[in-house]
Amino acid sequence: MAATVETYSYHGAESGAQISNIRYNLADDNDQDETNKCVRPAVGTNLSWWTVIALYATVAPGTGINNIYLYTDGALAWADCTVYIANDAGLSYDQATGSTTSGDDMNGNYSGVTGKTDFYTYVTGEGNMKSIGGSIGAATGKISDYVPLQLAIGTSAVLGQQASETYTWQYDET
Amino acid sequence: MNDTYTWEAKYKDGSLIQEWAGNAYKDIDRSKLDEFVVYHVDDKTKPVMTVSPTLDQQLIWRKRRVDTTDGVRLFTTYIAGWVNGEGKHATFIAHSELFNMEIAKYESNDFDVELWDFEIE
Repeated sequence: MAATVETYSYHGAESGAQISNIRYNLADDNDQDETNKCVRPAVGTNLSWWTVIALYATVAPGTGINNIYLYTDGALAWADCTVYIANDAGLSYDQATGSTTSGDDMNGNYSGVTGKTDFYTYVTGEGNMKSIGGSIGAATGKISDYVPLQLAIGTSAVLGQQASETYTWQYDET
Repeated sequence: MNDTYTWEAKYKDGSLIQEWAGNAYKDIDRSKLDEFVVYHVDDKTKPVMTVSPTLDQQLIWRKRRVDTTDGVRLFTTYIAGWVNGEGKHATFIAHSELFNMEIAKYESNDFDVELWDFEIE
C-alpha cells in the first residue's frame, strides 16, 4: 500500500498539523487570514516570523521513505521579497518569535541555525535541490528534518496578498 | 494516492510474493530471489520491467515521488535495478507514469547522476 505523505506545519510547543498553504505572517501560526500581516518597512528589511515545515506520513510506507529534497520553481513573483531556508540539517523544533512589525531572524535565533540561503536558488535537478535530512521506516509520523522558512520584505514590496507559490518535495518510497 | 505500478518477487524455488497481496519490499528474501518483476496495476500479465540480480548484487526498487507542498502528486518515477556488492556499479531501468513508458536504461559507476542518485540501505 502506498504511503500518504503530507506537509506539516509546526507551531506552539511543537504542535504539527497538515497544511495546504504556508502563510508567512507575524505570528506563530499558519492561519489563512489577514490578521498578523507582514509589514513593509519604510527603510531596511522586515521579516515574517519563521515558519517550520516537515514531510509527514499519515499512512505508513511498506518499507520506508528517504532521500528527501525540497525545491522551488526558481522565480518568486513577490516584488522585493526573499524567502529564506535554513542551511542547517538535523534541526530540532524551535518556536517562532518576533514583534508586531518583524520576526526575529532565524539565523541566530532559531536554535542550531548558523546560516540561511535564498530558497529560490534551489530548483529541480540533481545538485540543484535542497537536501533535507530524515527518513522513516514502515511507520507513520514525521519523516524529514524540520525545515525553517522565513520571508524577508523590502521597501519596494507590493502591498496586499501575494500570488500563490508552489514548493515541491522529492523523495524515494519503498 | 494509488500507485501505477506494482511488483512481484519470483523465487528460485518457484514460489513468489506480490506487493498487491500485501507484501512490502522489505519482505523480499534476497537470498532466494530469482526475478523482480514490475507490472502495471491494471495488467499483471505483461511485465514492464524485470530485473534478476545475482547474490552479489543488491536489488533496488524505488518509487521516486514528486509532490507539491499543497498535497498534489505531480508524478512518480519507478526505478528497478541492482547495485553490485561494493555499491559502485549500478544498472537501472526507470518507468515513469508521467509518460506511461520506459524512460531510460542506465549503467553507471557514478551515482551522482540526475534521477539515479539514491540512498542504499
